[in-house]
Formats: sequence, structure tokens, C-alpha cells
Amino acid sequence: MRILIRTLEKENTAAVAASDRVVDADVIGFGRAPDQQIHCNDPRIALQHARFTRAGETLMISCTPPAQAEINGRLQRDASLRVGDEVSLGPMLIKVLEPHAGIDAAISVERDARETVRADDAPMPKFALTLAEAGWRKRPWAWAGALATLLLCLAVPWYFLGQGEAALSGLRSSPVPSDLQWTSGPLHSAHANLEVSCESCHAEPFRRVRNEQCLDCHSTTLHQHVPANHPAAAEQQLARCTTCHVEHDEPSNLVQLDTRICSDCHAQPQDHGASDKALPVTDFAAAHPDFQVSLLTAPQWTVTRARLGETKIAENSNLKFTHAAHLDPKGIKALQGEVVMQCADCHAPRDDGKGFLPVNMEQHCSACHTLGFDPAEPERKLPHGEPAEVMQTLIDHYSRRFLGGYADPLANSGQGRTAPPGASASAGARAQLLGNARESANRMAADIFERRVCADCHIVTRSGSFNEPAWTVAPVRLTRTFMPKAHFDHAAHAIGETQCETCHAAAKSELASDVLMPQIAVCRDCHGGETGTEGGLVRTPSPCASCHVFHDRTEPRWVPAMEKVLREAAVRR
Amino acid sequence: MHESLLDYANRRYLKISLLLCAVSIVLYAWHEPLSPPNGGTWLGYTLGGIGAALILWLTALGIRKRSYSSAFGTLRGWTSAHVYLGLALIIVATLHTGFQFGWNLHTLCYVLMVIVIVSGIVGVVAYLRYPQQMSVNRAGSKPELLLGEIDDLDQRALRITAEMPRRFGDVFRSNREGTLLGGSARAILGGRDRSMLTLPSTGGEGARAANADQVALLEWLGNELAASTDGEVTRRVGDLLSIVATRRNLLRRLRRDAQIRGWLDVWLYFHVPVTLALIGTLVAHVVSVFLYW
Repeated sequence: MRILIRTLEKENTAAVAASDRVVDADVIGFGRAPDQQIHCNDPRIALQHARFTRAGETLMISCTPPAQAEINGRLQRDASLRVGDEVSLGPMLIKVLEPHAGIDAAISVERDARETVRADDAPMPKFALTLAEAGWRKRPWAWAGALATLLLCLAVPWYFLGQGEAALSGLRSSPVPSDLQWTSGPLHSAHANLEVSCESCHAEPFRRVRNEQCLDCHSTTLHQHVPANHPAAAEQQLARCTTCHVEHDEPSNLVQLDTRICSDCHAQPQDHGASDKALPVTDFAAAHPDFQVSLLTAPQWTVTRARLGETKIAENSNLKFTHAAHLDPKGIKALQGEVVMQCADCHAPRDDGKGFLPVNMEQHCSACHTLGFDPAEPERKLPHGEPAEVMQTLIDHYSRRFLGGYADPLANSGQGRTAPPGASASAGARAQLLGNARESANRMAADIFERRVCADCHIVTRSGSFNEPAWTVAPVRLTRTFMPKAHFDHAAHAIGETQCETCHAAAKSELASDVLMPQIAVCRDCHGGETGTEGGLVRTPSPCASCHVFHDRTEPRWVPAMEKVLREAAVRR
Repeated sequence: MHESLLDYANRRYLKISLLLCAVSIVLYAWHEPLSPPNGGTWLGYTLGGIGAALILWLTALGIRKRSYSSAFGTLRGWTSAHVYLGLALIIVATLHTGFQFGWNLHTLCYVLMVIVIVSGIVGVVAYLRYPQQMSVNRAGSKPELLLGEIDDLDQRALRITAEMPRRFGDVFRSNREGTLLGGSARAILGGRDRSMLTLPSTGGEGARAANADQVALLEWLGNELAASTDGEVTRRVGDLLSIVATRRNLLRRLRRDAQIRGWLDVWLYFHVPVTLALIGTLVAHVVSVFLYW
């Protein structure tokens, strides 16, 4: 299609300049885009607003939706044009002209004169089409947010911190956020009273909680971490309480049960100054040496430590005794007949339920092991004590009997006569009688010291002359606490099927020297390590502190050592 | 194809952020402090320091994007890093808390941070979704141009009504006055049309009618068309109907444009002020934990 495009431009009020150009193209574009043959830089015109094409002999216009053209006063999108038609497109008016020879179509393009005349003088109203136009602002809110948080979360509480206790507690009880908002978590229930008095621990701003603050309350009850001879004793004294006792955590961890507070050093104790005797420990389930027991041993009665399980160890108490005989399930002979004994008959628990009261002869043995000696006088008992007292008791007894002259059904008639009742003997006769009494006492003493009564339980040695014999009983001392370095609560273990013999193999113990403390394997049946889930088993979690304590009450008080440390620390600063 | 912010530099900052998250998570899993995990262990301080530095740097985007002359990285690079490192901050800060939360300043700081990050995610989604819808809707035009077209249509309509019975001119003038676009944030974001129109009524003042989507006007014109017996008036009413239909289309596009732009902007009205509040609480958090060490 060859088309003539005549552009008419008003030069002044009267003259019009016309410029013609002939374009040879199938499509003549009208629009705002610069590549359009008829370019119109008006905001109402789309980039490709309309196109002129030729269908047969007819010039056609088609507008790109939603654009429309006003053709001879009618709004249309697509139309065929005839010579003389007027097409109004936004600000432009396009007229279809009569083409001359050699040209397929001709149009003129000019400003639409009506454009300058508005039908309505009112301009388009202003619309708020964005949030900013609708009055939304970021900056004031941003400043307000920053200022409000800085004031309420920091400045106000901080200011009141310096205004004395009354002002501070006034703020805390007011609805205005106080320094209580700074807490990072609840305190342990033991410290509940401190929940609203931060300054009890946080005494100085920007300074970590110091041990003095802990000692304000704990100075009278706190014991040393570890014994004074412990390789880490000095280091422990310098430790900050809050290294282990951390507050404001959930779950609360005020009481430190983490195995590592021990195993950090005890896994390789020699690296931390321990002697070669200290064996490595990492965890009760994973690596804990066999238990050691403390044994009181005759004759010096010094405490010796021996490890269970390594070799057969023996407690030398100088007592003759077997648990097996006493715990015979068929019963044993007693005054009142056959009796089946129970552990508790001798081992009475202490009130605290943890340990047991000491076993003693009078309470636990004498019901069966009576100290009678004279069948004629079964009520007459020997004292349980010094052999010399026993001897004297026997001499007294037989002297009275011989001098008193009452019948002795067991007396041998060949041993001289007894004085008749009420008769007074001569001095010679009395000496004779006393000699006989002494002889009887000696015989009886030899019998009870060496063959029955005393010898049943004790190791007895004879000394002295033939006429005046004497006996020595080896002293007996029983170990009171076999495992002083661990604490154990018997009451806590008296649950379910657990019996004494679950842990203590007393019924099979044939020797007094047997140590009946259980080995670690017995504990491990139920007790795991720190988590209790080691080795795929589910057992009672047993961190070190289950049995071993820091701040043991048998250790000295913390305070004196601490004061020294604090003084030194002050000097260093 | 236009490279999105998320694909910038072969996703360099996604990789950096994933690495940061992975290292943080591995350290957290490996770290077994004596106390329950919290912000006060060495790892807690480390994660907290990284988190605070990240927050300050992420905020600096607001400054960087205004420094048009800055040659310190491209703005696209900054924004891409802002998005990915902002997301990584959730992991870093959550591990810093050790999952311990409470009614206190520290958790407030965390919650504000989460609000900022979530509003940022909304922003990223908006930026991925809306610009394309917006350019489809604009179809190469601009709101000012669309408004100009409406003005043009109004002028044409008024020219047509000038030669018609008076009620036509009245109705079209009332339509021009009563047309509402945007206005409040609610109207912009909701995209609702609360335009009004005064229709002539028998004997008097005229009745105010809701004219959402030009429906009342189209209906009125339809009735006029049906009732018309004058061929010239019928032709003109037909033209007016065509104008109003076009006008309705333009109004819809403008309203939709404002709505899209509204949703493209609205998250920032939370993102920015809450960020500043977050910085306030962050300062308070850092100072207070050492004040009450």
C-alpha cells in the first residue's frame, strides 16, 4: 500500500503548513511508540493505538483494545473508511483524502481543533492512589518505635536504678516496665524470694555476679567443694559460684548435675595433679573403676582402702562370725527354740533411713549368746567386757558358794566338803574352802574363755600362772562405713523386689572376714550413666552427683578459705 | 529473561546464607554447655554477636538504597544479600535464644525481629508476584495516562450530552464528581469502588445511588436506550454507553493498579518502623544483659 500522509501544522492563527510524505507499507501504525509511522506523543494515546490497513480498495482502521476512535462522531474500534471520513484519535484528527494517481490512499493528520475546547472546566479530581497519598508514613512511626523502645526498655529502668530503693520498687509496682523486664528467665524455686530484687545478686552494674552475693545468704551453710588435699582444691576455691550454678535458665540448672564437672579432670586425673592411685572416670556407665572400701583392720585399727573385685579382700575385725550360719533359712537354735533370723534383727536402720545403727553384743547377740555359766544359778551372768572382771566375777561367785555351803548339784564329792549352812568354819577350813572356790573358778574360766561362751565369738589367748591364769580377748572393732566417699540412701532403695540380699550376699558368707559390699556391677543393673540410656538400656540416670557430693558437709566451711581468696583477689586488682 | 533478586549472581548470597545456617546448626548441635543452651555461653555470645551485626547491616540497606552515588556493591547485590541473610537471621537468632522464651525484653526483641523478617518475606513474595501483574494491567500505560484517558472520555461524553436532554448532562457531570478512586488505605488495598451517582427522579432532587463499576450509570443508560423513540437520541445513548464501558474498564485498571501498588508497598510500612523498634530493643537487650551480667 502506498499511502500519502499529509501533516498539517498550524504556524500561526491563520497559516497552516502542510508537509506530505508517501509511505509504502502494509500497515501504517498510529501511536505513542517512536516506531509508529504516525507518531503522537500524548498520554492518552497507547504505544500502538491504531493501525491503518488496506482490504481490497478500502482503507481500514482497527484500534488496539481498549482504544477506540471517534469516526464521524461515532465511537468505533474497527471500521472501513471512505473519502471525507473524519477520525478523531485523542488530540489528533485524521481525515481521509481523495488519493491521486499512483497512490492507494491519502490521509491528513492535524490537531483536533475541539481539543482545545473543554466541555467541562472542572479538572479531574485528585485521587489518593498510593498508601503515601492516603496519608501513610513510615518515618514518624520508625522514630517513635525506636524512641519508645529505648525509653521504656532501657532508659527509664536504668534511670530508676540510680534513684534508690524506694523509687525502684515504686517503678516495679507500677504498670511502667521496670528492670524486671530484663530477667532472662525464672529463678530456681529456692530463690523465688529474689525474683523481684535483682540487686540482691546483680549488685553492681556491668559487673558479673560475684561470690560475695551468694555468700550473703550462704556463708553459714556452705562447705568446701572438695577436701583440702584434693588436687583441685585451690582451683575450686577460686571458682566463681555462677560457673556451675547458673540461674535464669529453663529448665533450671541451679544444682549442677553435669558429669563433666568431674570428668573434665577425672577422665585423666594424672594430668591434673592426681597421684597414680587415681583411676580414670568418665561416667558411671561408661568408665568407673570398681568400688573401693575402707576397712578397719586389726591390730592397728588403721583404715585401709581396698578395691572390691580385684583380689579377695578380708576385713580383720577379730570377731568369729558367719552370716551364713545366722541366716540359715531352716532357723537356728535359740533359747526360745528354732528361730529364722532376719537382717533387721541386728541391722537397725538409722532414723535418716540412709545407714544403720552399730551392732552391739548387748542388744543384738545376748538374747542367744547368754553369758550364764552356772546351771545352778542360770540368772547369774558374766559381764561382757574385761577378762579380769570376768575372772573376778567367777572367783566371787564360787567363793560365796563354797563359804555359803549351799548344795552344788554338779559338784564333785571328791573335792572336799562344803561348810554346813550357818556354821562358822575355822580359819584353816576357810582357806581350804577359798582354795577350792578359786580352783572351780579357774576351771570354769578356762572352759568359757577357751571352749564355749567367749571363744564362740572371740579370739582369746591364755597367760599367767597355773594357779592364777589370765586371758586376753582380742579387741573387736567393726567397720562402720565401708564407702565414706559416696552417699547412699538405703530407704530410697527399699522399693519393689529389692531386698537386702539383692545387693549383699550375706546368706552365703561363711567367713567373718567377708566384705559384703556390692560391686559396681550390682549397681549397674539399675543405674546407668549421666543419661541412663547408655548401651541401648533404659536405666536410672546417674550422674556423678547421685553418689558423690560437692560441698560435702564433712568438709570445712567455705567462708574462711573464701575470705582469704577474696582478699588475695582484691590485692591482685 | 529478567533475573530476579533471588537469582542474583548465581545465588551467591543464598549459598552464603545456607553455609551460615549450616555452621550455626552444627555448632549448636555439637555444643553442650553445662547449663541449658542459652545466649550466655560462648556459642550464645557468638551467635548473638553475628545476629546483632546482621540486624545492623540489614538495616543499612535503607541507607545504601538512598546513596545513589555509592559504588559499594550494586543495589541489586545488596538487596539479594538482604533477603537471604535476613532469612538466615531467623536461624542464627533462634539458636542464640537456646529456645528459651519468656515475658521479657529479650523475647520482645526476638518477636519484633520475627515480625520484621515475616513482613520482609511478604515483601519478597510481593516483589516476585505483583510487578508482572502490574505491567500486564498497565499494558504500557501509566496511572496518569489512564486518568487522562478518563478525563478525555468525560469531555467526549459531555460534548455528546450537550446536544441531548438536560438530564444526560446532569447524570454525566454527577458521574464525574462521584467517581472515587483509592482514598484510604482500606479502599486502595481492598480495591472496592465506592463511587456514587445522582440519577434524576420524577419530581425533584434526584436520587443518590451507589455506582460501583459504573453499573448504575450503565443501567440507567440502558433504560434510556430502551425507552428512546428518537433515533438521534438512541444513537447518542449508544455512543455514551460505549464511552462508559471504556471508562469502566479504565477505572478498573486504575483501581487494580492502585491495589497492586498498595500491596507492593504495605509490608514496608511494617518492615521499616518495626525495624527501628527492633533496633531500640536490641540496644536495650545488649546493654541490659551486661548491666545485669
